[in-house]
Amino acid sequence: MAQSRRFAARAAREINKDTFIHEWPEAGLILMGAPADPLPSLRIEDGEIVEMDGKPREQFDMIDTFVARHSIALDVAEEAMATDSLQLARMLVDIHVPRADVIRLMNGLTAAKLVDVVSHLNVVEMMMALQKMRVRRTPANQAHVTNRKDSPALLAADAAEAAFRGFAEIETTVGVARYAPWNALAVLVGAQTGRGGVLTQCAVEEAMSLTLAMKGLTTYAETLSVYGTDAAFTDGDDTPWSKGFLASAYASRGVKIRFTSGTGSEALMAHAHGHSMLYLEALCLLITKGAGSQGVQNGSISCIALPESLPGGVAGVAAENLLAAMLDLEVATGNDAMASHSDIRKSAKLMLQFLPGSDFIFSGYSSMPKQDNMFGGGNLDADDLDDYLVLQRDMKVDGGLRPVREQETLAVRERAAKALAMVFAAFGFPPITQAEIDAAVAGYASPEMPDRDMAADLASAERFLAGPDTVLGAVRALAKNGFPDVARNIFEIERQRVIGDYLQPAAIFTSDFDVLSGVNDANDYQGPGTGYRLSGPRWGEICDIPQAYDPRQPRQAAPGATLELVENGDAQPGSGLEVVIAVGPAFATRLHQTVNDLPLSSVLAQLLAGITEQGIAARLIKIYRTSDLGQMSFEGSRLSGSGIAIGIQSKGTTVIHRRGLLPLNNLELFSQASQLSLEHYRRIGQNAAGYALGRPVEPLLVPVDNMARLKFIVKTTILHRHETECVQAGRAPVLLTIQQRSRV
Amino acid sequence: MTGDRHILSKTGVPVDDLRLERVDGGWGEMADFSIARETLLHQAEVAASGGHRQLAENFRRAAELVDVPDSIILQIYDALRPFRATQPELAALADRLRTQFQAHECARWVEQAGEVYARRGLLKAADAAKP
Repeated sequence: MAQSRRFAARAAREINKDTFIHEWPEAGLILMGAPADPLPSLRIEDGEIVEMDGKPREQFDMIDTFVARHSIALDVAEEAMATDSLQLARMLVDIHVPRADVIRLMNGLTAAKLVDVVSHLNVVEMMMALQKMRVRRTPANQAHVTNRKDSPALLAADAAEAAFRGFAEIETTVGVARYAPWNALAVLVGAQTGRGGVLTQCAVEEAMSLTLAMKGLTTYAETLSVYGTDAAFTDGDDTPWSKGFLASAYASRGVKIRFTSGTGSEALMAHAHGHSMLYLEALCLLITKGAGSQGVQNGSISCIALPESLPGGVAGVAAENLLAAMLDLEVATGNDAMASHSDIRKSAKLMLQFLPGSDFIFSGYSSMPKQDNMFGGGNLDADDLDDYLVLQRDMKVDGGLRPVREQETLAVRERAAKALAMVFAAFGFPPITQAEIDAAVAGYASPEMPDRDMAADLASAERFLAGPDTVLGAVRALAKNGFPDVARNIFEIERQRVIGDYLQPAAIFTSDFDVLSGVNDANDYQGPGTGYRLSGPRWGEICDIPQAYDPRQPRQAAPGATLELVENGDAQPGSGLEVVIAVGPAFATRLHQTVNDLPLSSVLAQLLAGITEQGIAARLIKIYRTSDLGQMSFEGSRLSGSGIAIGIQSKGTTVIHRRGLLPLNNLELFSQASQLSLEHYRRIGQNAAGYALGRPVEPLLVPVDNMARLKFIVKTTILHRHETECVQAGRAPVLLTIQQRSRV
Repeated sequence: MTGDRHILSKTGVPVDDLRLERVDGGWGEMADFSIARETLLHQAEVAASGGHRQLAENFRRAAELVDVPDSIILQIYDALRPFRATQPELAALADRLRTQFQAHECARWVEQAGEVYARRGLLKAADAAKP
């Protein structure tokens, strides 16, 4: 059997670690259009739904009953169901139809009809529709903050950094369940140290989660999971009524919630009943809406690799995000679990939510290294943060984050760890040591954290949960002991529970504790010039990544590498055996290094050495009238006694020219200055001398690097611009002599 | 969004009197930082006027739960999970919500669950056989 090394190379690529399967509709392994999926239908009699998606009321199961009673707006249902799905699909992308008009009709659709509508959209149209249909005008982002050791100092430091970087929500969870109250406390204190107003939650078992909220340790809850079939729902140990009651319970304590659903969960539990993933997801979203949740996190969430194994899987996941937005639900659009081994595929998938923007682009960006992610990965993690910040800048997209500087970030991390240590001391918990604080500030991940006495910690955490201490104790301890700002932020987030504005759809807080929600920051996208536009200070912030530098400021000469060249009047035509070196107008005056960071003093020394060691003279001239290499060397050869000249731009690009050749012709051209070493410059000098002596010369071969253009085109452009700014039109070439301070 | 509304906490403290300095001085407990029934009813109006009918209904149920103790809330939640309660048990909880807490919408919610659970075999084993 023939074997190809190219096929072998591809087989070893990351993409081929991913799993791909063909559709299996009977098992629910299909994105949409399963043969068992019902056709849309709705019949209402006496104000009640008596038939839905082909099923008479007598055959309604638990979910059908819930959806029919709570989810569908009966006053528009007949009009909406009678509207052609294609027309509804077009309304989603038609900039002349306001969002509210679309929402009105979508509220009256059944699950089968909702899927029928999105089935008419291609993936670009889905993105257009998500841009228009998401609830909040301003996009935002959510972080995961967890670690394998449940280290409190590290949780606080990571939460502080995530808040500082701009995440609007932070979700934590536990390695060991009994740590829940501590982890919630650590993330609360950390987040409010990093930036006031960040919402925090701790994903644990429902009853525990509610208890944490009641104690003031969390400000929202998200893991209220719902499923699209009765069997999957009850396997999850809940019903739409139990989840709906929970939603009311949280709201009664002033706590924001969103539900969780996602394609693939029913198939994973072997309870899809032959239905497609999107049909079941539409049911989940109708349950979410009917139960009175303001929003949902979906986008397959932890099942993401399942839809991604199927044809149309990534588009299908975008469709489920859109379905949520169509139902006027806040949507946190997944991207929170590892979607692929391939960085290309992960990034491509992300674009479907990142480019249009969503209420939370990630429902959990792993803000720490993925090894510490207790949710199972995170599609992007701490190591990818700079990539993400560059993507915002590249696409002019607000992905919810801002660039930060290392020292200010470390200061925030340290303050958060110290604040939590103070709270631990106040509550009488086993202390957080200075060694822990130091490791939490500067370490990479939890293996660097000193081990704690877990048994003592867990006993203390359980006493805290059962005891009378609340978050108000933490506020007092912080206010009295040097953390008044942190105390004020935690106090304010607790006070906001009393006001309850952040219970409204898609609510987040600014750092001034102003609510941004669907009520006062409603998405008003209606085509170009409307909706959220990235501009002003926020765009400036996104542009200002630390790696970016001011191209107007050329780099100064390295110490000891300055070269003083004295000008000695106009250069005259030479006679005798010499090589002229013609340098550019900025050489050693404005510019001091080649594009490859070689000092021009060293480069010149090597060229001179190469020439003179062949026993002939070198003469140095500076060209002012042009910065063009061909013209420079042409001029040099005209003045050279031997007719041989080396032209060199200040960025290091070099040519050997002979009088009589056209300006753009040459003996040897070294166009990739980034590839030239000092040794190469010496040999260029030698070769030039060889030509002057009339010897046979072997051209110098310089290695080619296909990455050179990528790496150096910006520096090349900047250096050439500086050189060209030094051009003096009409000025004759000038003779230079060297006063060298350091020899290389 | 709060405008000039006069917001009181569950314990009747005006929201403007919830001040860090007071907490710092030892005043206050979590109940003082709990949302009041009236505030949730107001949020329900805001939600309804924004077209969020079900969210408004949820806030109205939540308003009814403000005075229901944590332990009873957790007890009702547990009873609503599948196969946890008999229909009479659910009916009793609904009755308690209605009479003890005037939580009429929540009571209806629990009753409705009971009816559906009975029809779909989601009650505690003792009852499941005779829907």
